[in-house]
Amino acid sequence: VVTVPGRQLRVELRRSTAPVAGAAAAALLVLLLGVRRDEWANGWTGLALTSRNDLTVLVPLALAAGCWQGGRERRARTEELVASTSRPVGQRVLTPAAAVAVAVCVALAGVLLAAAVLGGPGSWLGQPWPLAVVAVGVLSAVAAVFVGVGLGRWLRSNLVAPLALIVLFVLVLAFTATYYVDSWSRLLAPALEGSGDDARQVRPAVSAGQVMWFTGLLLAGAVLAVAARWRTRVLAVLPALAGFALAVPLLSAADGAAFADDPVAARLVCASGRPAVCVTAVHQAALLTVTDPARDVLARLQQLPDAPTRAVEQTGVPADRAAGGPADVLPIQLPQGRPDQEFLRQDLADGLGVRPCLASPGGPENAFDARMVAGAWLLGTPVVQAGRPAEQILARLRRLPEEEQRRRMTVLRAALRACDRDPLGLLP
Amino acid sequence: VRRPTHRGVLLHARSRGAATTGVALLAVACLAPLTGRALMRAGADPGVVFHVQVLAVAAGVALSGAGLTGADPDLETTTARSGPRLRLAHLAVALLVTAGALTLGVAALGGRTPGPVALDPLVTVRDVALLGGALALTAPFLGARLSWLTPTLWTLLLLAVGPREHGWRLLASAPLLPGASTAAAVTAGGLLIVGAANYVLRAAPR
Repeated sequence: VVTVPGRQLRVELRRSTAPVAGAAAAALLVLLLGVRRDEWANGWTGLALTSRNDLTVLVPLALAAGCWQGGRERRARTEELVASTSRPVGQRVLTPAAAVAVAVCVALAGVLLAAAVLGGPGSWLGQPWPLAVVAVGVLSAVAAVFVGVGLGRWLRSNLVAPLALIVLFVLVLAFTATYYVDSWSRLLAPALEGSGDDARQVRPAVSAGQVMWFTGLLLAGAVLAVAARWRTRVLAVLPALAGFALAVPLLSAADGAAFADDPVAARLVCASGRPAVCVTAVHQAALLTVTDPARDVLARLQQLPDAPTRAVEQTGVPADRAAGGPADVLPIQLPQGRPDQEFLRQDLADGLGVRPCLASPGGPENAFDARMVAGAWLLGTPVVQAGRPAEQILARLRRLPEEEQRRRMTVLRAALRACDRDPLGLLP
Repeated sequence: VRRPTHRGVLLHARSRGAATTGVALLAVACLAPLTGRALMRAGADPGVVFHVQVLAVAAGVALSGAGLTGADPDLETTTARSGPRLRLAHLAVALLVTAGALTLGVAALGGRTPGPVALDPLVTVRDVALLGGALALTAPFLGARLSWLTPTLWTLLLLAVGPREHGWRLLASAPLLPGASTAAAVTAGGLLIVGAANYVLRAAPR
């Protein structure tokens, strides 16, 4: 009797490892998304990246589920019985693998869909890249299932599933540990860390390269699963190698950077009126909140020479946002969440509107205190966060004649822009 | 109850797949320090090396779960041996061998490495007690063949989420806490006693 694959798939979905694997994947993803709720608070773009980060755990789990499914007939001692059925080997082996893959896919997609409904689009502007990021993540889990089935059928032991799970987790850990080493090889891992900047997107070439790589692995797993001889098993390396070869040029382009500027998100949106206050389109919801504090700080800075005339949100990598840049721009850096206007006023006035240096040559405390004193002087408020010496410096500064205060602040502003060694030493 | 003979011990070990498990455990104990060294050379954080150590413990304990039951538990109940004693002895030997192999592995890694959590053989022994206790606690429900799920999933989740500092979450983070943590040591002892009692008294299905 030849069973149609559709019916076989439905039976497998009900009675094999598939429902357990799907339920476990869904439960784990719910738990991980719940713990990292802050990371996807900005809506669908954050959700897409957080889900990829969660694959650090979910892909090894998918691999173990595949291994367990692959060893099913061996554990039940029905290998010969199943092999003697009048069905092609692909149907006998790949349909059970597909059942686990479908269960894991449905679980991941279902949980992400529910989270998307709960979280809402947020700052998503209709760009396609978050969808690609999620799709590649799901594809990596499917590839893991097929590779797992191949391993489970090849290596005849119940110990394969737990060992494969832990070995893959260590491999992913090793890949993510090389984040400090600037290498494109980290992009071969399914996990993807966020960029920390809402105006950046995953490079389309990275997603395309990962599709090649994971499709190669999926095909390798399928070949390994149906292979019965050593010679055929060796052939399983070919699709993986082909996927790797196709992926390398795409992943290693742009020095292996995972992220690039997102022109749709980085487009500037400005408030009506003068002076100009602009934020990126991805943060346009914050424009109403930031406009008043920005204009207040711009007005206060006019007492210094070469004061900025407009406030613009900064984008790009941290190096682009460090001190320097055009002197006529008051840089806006919006924090995560929904900051109030008073917080933004203090943040904008901090360091007289000069961006912090990437590394402070005179030590971070020196620059921090100098920036805090300058911000408090500009707003006419007590110094916040900094310690007692900063309070005393501010008090001495305010006792000076107004002209001398402005002169000192002008010198301090230039020193902060140049990332001088001892900006605090310029104050009385 | 008769005293175990040399031949009886050998047959028991063979029926529980001790040779395969032993080879796999040896591989884990050797590969863990090598992986840790390689990661350190690649400039990885010492915290990552510690994670590899905890994962090695999870792998070792998961491997020992496969032998918690023989090929035919019903047949074993008919033998003229005390089931609870046999299970207690089996669990104790399995966890001691796991702890010994992995401790030697940690010693091979260089004993202590600088970082927030120093590699400490005591941490390995404590984590074997923690994860072994969890394994023994859940084996009667999951069965010996699936008992590996508890130590591996616990460890993976913990590494993904990171250790917590308060309440029951602190206790759940026990495998990642420093060796000096009293809470982790007490949790390890308690979990091992409760888990072992559950397995010894209830046995585990295939």
